[in-house]
Amino acid sequence: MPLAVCNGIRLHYQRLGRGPEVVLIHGLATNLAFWYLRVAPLLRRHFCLILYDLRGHGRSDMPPTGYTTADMAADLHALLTHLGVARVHLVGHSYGGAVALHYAVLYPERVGSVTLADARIRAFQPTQRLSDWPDAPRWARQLHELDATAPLEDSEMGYRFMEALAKAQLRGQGLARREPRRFVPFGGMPHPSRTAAQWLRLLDTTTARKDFAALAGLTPERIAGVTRPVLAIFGEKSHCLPSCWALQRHLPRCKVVLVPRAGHFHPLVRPVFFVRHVRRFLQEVTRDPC
Amino acid sequence: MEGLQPRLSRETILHGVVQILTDMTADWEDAFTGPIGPETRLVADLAFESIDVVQLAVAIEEHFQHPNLPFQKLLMRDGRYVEDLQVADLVEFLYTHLNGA
Repeated sequence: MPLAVCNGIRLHYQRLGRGPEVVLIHGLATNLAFWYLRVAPLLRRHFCLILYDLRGHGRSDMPPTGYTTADMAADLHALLTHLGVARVHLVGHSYGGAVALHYAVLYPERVGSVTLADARIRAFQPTQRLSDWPDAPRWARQLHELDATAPLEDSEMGYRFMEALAKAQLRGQGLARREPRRFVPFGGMPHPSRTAAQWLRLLDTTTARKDFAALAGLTPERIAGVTRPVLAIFGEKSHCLPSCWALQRHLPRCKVVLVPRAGHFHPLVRPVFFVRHVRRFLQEVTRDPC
Repeated sequence: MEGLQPRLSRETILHGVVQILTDMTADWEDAFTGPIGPETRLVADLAFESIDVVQLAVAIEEHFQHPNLPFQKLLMRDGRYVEDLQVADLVEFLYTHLNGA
């Protein structure tokens, strides 16, 4: 289990495959397994993949502070320096996408391209209320079934929903057993999930909750200054679509792909579609004939 | 040279897998207390999660010095994750792929 001391903490990472170097950055409340089992086997044939656990996630350390996208971009910079990687293509899902974009703002010389998979960009989408989500009544019904205490008009419903799912899972009431055809975080396990417990510990014992809500310098002006090619690949039913359209308006080199009939977790639900478009995009930007 | 390597027996593979699983789970809270054997289930008995599957896959590739094993063939059925696996399923998968399938 490779661990690198980066930015004062230990980060767990894996390297797979050969070719141009691509970093895969997972979102909140998950870990590098998000990519490892479905996406990585398809991409590793063409690229050298670097997967790692964000701080507070997976096998990486959970320090008491430092969970803004700027902090995590600094972690990534330290990891790439540790690995001796000079230039990478970044692929990030959800909060991992925001980390990737922040890295491209801070270290443009190290970045070949940025793929944002359903990334909510706070500068463009400062709130996430349930009433703005596609299919809001169904989500509201599920929150009610989970006995969640979060008000339905909470402005950070994305995190609240993950929190409610984690608590429900630990009570033995996770959603996945009732809805086997959809991906549900922390779902499908007959035992209390350590990943769910880790997510709640992160929210309750660190500055993560406050840090996730911080702009941390990732402003619209700085995002508009990104000159590298950007692929925005979002689920057609995602609650993050406002970020997608804003990226397209602010970044002239932003290519948009919508994943049909998919929501926020489309890389897990439609991995072949996702990989086909990411691979095509990376081959265009690397001018690689493979 | 690969074709000249001796075939690994199921017993040798089982021994290696059990050793890896024992090491992995030794310091887990509420760790499985029974002996790990062919009928042990990764999820139901050992409380495996997806990150543990990654760690297991990496440990197996290192132990048997065989990178790029197609674990997705073991873990996916009809585009979905299997709900659980027995150690015996894993041994059979490794017997096939470590011996050159």
